[in-house]
Amino acid sequence: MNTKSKPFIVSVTSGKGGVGKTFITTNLAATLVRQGKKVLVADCDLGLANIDIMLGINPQLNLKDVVFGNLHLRDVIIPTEGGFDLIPASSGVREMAQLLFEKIQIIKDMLLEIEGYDLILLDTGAGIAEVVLQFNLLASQNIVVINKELTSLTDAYAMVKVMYQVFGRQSFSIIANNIPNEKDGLNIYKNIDTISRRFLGFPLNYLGHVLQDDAVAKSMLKQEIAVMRFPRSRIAANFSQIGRTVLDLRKS
Amino acid sequence: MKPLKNNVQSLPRVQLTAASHKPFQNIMKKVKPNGGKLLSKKDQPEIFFILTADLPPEELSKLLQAKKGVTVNLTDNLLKRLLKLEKDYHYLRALSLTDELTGLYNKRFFNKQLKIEITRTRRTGQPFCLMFIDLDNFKSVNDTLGHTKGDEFLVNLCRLFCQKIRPTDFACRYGGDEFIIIMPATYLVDGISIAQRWHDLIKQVASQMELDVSSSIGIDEFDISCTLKAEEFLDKVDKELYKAKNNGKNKVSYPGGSLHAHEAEEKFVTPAEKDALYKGSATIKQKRKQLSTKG
Repeated sequence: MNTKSKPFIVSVTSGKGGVGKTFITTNLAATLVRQGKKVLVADCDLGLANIDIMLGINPQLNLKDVVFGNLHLRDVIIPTEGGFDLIPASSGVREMAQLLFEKIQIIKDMLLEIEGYDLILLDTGAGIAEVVLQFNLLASQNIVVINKELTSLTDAYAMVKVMYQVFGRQSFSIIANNIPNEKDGLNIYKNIDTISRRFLGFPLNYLGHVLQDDAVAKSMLKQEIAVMRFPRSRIAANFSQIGRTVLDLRKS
Repeated sequence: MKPLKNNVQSLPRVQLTAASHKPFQNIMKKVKPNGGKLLSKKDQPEIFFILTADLPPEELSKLLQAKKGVTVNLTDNLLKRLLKLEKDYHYLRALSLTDELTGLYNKRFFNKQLKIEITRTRRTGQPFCLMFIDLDNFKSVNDTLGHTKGDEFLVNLCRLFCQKIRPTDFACRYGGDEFIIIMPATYLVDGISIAQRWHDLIKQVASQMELDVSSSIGIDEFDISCTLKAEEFLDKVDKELYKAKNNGKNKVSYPGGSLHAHEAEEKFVTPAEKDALYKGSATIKQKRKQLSTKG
């Protein structure tokens, strides 16, 4: 098989909800598109999917039709304004939140079959549910999003620990989101990195930070992607930096 | 295979009560006013022994009155006889709690120990894990290559079990090709990684013997909030095993659908790790304060 057509699968995860996984995923995807890559985003937050809401779109088909219908993932892919393609999930369908193991396997297998993209970003749900772990396992790189709240740090650490102890994962990348200044981001990263080295025995990788910015709230209200709406903002620069680091990871 | 040495040692030791023993004499005084010595018909001094495992005095006196014990003539080689009795006792005891073929603990021991562990968890608050292992395709080995080959595999496997098992865990043979491991004071996340190791180990032994045998493993944690009885908990782990079997075998299955972030933090992040994270975060805050006061 042609290895060039195999997409690089990256999951965006956190442990805690509300730290900005979906924000990071959409903006990172849009940034990577601007850097000339073909990107697919899969909304893997099966219980409370919200990428479609964030982008202000109302997809006809979603992941539910794949799980309970006879469709392939390819059939539900839709293009977005950000230039990347999206596999939307369904929000609020109770059965989706606790999918059977075999159903998850089916989705995972289908994701691996998809070709024609440089990268696939998986936006996972919050918490340490089996579904989340399985999607993290599928991805060759896990991005763990943290912010300056202590609970986000402990939950992120719990995620790293579980992925390590259950599946032997030892490579994680940290993004510090919504932080007041550059130094704070580095300090937060250093804190969790020290703990990981000490208790788990391996270092964490730092992808970079996304600063606090009014542009985020403004674009969120208008259901737009921040880096598209404000291409000259500080956070657009942050995302370009992170995008380049992700592409470096892919090469190595 | 001989019963395992460490299995035997871990059993409670039996105490011998001799006539010279003080509490025994006190009881004897009540039973027989003339003291601890029992006299035979021919007025030959004999010593009366009762094998006890810490009997309460009332029980002991009942036994004495019923003369359920061993009467020994002083002309006998007393020591030799006692040693043999004790040896026999330990041997029989070990025999009753271990599996003949593999030397692991048997079902009888398991049922007893499970109840003990549940009580321990309720008392100490520390969870324990139960792992149910079922070999895949083992029947076909017995059917095609014969039971000798099958037995050989089991013995090799269990020898490895005994070498690799953590000293605080109990490995039991539950049935033909079913094994249960009790892991006291173990959190689910640690239990799962151990289960993965066992799973790989079994595969390794099978491939060494060129057999196509793998294992399905179900595992669950019993924590202090769990209200299940021993049998109900065993059923729960059994269901987990069937989940592994039904999902194509050759895998470890564990309950995971219901873990949320706050629970995960409680379960997986140890106090020491949390403490370290908090301290790191506090120093960041201090630095920020210093910066802002300077500015």
